[in-house]
Amino acid sequence: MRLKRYFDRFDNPTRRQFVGGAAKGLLGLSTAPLMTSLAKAGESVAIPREAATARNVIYLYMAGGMTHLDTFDVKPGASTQGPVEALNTSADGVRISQYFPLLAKHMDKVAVINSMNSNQGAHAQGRYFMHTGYQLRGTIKHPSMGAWLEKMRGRVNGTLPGHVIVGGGGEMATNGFFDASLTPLPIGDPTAGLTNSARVQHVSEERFEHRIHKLERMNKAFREKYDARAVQDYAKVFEEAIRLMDSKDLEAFDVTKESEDVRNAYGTDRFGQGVLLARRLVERGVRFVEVVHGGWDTHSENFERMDELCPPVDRALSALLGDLEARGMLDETLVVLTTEFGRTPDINQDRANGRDHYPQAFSALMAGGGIQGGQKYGKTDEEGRKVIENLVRVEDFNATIAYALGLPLEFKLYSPSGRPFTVAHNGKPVKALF
Amino acid sequence: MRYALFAVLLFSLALFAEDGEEMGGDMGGDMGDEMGMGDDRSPKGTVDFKTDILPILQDRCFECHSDAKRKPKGRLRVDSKSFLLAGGVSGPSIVPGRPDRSPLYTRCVLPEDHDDVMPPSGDVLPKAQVTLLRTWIKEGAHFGGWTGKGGEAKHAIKTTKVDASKTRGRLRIYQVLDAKASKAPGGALKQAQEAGARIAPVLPNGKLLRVEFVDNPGSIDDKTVAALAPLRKHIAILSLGRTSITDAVMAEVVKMPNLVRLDLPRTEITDKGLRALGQGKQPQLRRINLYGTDVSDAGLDTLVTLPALAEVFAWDTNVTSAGVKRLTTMRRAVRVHFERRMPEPKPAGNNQNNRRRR
Repeated sequence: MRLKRYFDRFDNPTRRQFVGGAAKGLLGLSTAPLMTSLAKAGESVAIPREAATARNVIYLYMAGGMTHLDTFDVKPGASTQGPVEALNTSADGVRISQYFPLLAKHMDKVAVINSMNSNQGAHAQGRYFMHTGYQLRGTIKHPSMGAWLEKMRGRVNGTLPGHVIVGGGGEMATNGFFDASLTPLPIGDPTAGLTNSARVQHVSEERFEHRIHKLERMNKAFREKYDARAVQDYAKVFEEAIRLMDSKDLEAFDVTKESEDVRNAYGTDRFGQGVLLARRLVERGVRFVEVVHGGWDTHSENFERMDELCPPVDRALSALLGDLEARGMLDETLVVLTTEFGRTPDINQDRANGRDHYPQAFSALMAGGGIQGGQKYGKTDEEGRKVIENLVRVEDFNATIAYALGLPLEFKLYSPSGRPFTVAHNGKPVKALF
Repeated sequence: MRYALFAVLLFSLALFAEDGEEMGGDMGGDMGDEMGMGDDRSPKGTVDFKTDILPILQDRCFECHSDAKRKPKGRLRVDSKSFLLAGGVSGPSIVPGRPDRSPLYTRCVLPEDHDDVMPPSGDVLPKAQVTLLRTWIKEGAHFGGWTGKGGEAKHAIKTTKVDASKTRGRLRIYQVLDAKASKAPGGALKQAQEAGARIAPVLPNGKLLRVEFVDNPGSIDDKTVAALAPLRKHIAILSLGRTSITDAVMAEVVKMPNLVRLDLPRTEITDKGLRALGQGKQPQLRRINLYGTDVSDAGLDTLVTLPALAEVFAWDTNVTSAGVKRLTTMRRAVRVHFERRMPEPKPAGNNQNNRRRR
């Protein structure tokens, strides 16, 4: 009995049959039967469910390595703190840096984790580790959290993509060894809507359909001859794109549908508009949206850079928390803010007061989705050098996200080469946050 | 190929072994204390730490996990009893009595090509040594008077214990109600799904249901909801946001005795509907979402009769602070969100963000 589970890989016949069926559906371009088969695909694999407090994730990624001392792990009076001052917040005992005056009013909804620990001190490796829970290897590509969620729980809205990444791309979030159809949809400019999603004007609807039919006829023989997963996946991606083109849900991608005031409240910069887009998508059933905010690699002029880096985050995150709360969405939407590593407590004076990479200790935030706000978890020493209390490894952090979503932490999925992997690499969820 | 299969098989065997042990009785996570962690009594078992275990550690672990390294790997040192018990970044390395929960053992039985296998270089530990480790931990991990280097584990990271029963309070009401609920009739479920409802159990394998309308909500009306009648005892969460329902929908909604959460944002619900809801006095209804509707203070007043009410969402409605005050004076435990707390809009064009990107 048990053996069956261990060998029940994901390229099993049911799945293959399903993809085949979906590809055939392309001929008729009908949407309804496809939707039902999509729902079935999610159920065909018996992945255990666990109690969940969150359904969606908005994942804000601070690329480059966000300095912990100058953001959410302030050490007033310490020699490592530099000129940065601390602010009191709406949560008792939670102080954050002077760069987040708007967020200070929302900290009663936020849990601050000050005891993050990674063992990857380079950007690519650190990012990969944070997104997947596994270390970057030459031999395999691991899926990131959004792909795990979609793989294990399917989609909420059959028309929209299961997960989306704004301002990032393949380097950040990937489908790893899962099907190509679990690749996040990348969006470069959040204000541009979903680009290339409209039918070219000089092609009429009939002609478009005619072309699709022709394409299908040409592909058919090939697909029958090479009944490989990658070939089928490609057909599926294609079919989804066509479905989305015709959908009313497409306007979810259009942030210009929001009032001027709301757009300005989130901030008119890329990150602010990206976070607004994330809210729109989650509202319409996209489960996992990542928004990337780059530029945190402050090797030089660390303190001057804070003036540019923090305000967009302060504004967008505050607007998001207020907006989600008013809509009654905060309790089921987990908002995460994280980064690949922190920055050195020692200030590098040779480079105009810069800070360098520091994976030993850093900070992250979680809010909503069942998280108890207004708390601080974990501690570093007086100078922010070392975690001295409640250390949270990257795996534990990801396990906490999975725990909120009710994903089974011990359930193994197998890579095509037959190696077992779990959603957060056997991390332990931080239950104190809930 | 043959090798790969063999590795998978070996690994599965290791898993079987662990599973078998758990079947023997899951005794919870605090075995360490009961087994007398750090007990110095002479070992009753068959494995002796100093002669059987220490040589393995010296030979294969000390290179990275001792004071020979300025920064021991994973902040774990195995050259002293206190360090061994305190563990490193991944927590304690030994749980006495439970080899399956002791990384000192589990990391040594991973397949050779696994990312986390210990030792990371050289051959994997021979089977005889692995068995010794396992038996030693199983027998209670007694050190027989050995303390090793440096007394207290000063670098150890303090960990606060969490009482898991006190977390995730929001789910508790569902657990209580679910225990008393009956199983929803399959035929009715299918019918509702065909009518466009997305239905899922609130708790894994639970009997209470969450019913929502995600795809094309505009096509959902009072009739669709009335058709949920056979499921009325089973619905705990009902989401009707953006649907075409009217106040008449309440005729069915008030007949749902286990309803905990009702979402009606951006619908045509008015005070009349709320009055009907208030008169229903549903015993479990805790949370009502009304944002983006035309309800006003008069409607809010009528909710005072709901005994379990805890949270109302009324932003973007005609509800005023006076109305909220009236309700919350009478019902102190109720929280009404009627404002959207967002930063003051900053006019466009005055923004220097993302000026420099590296």
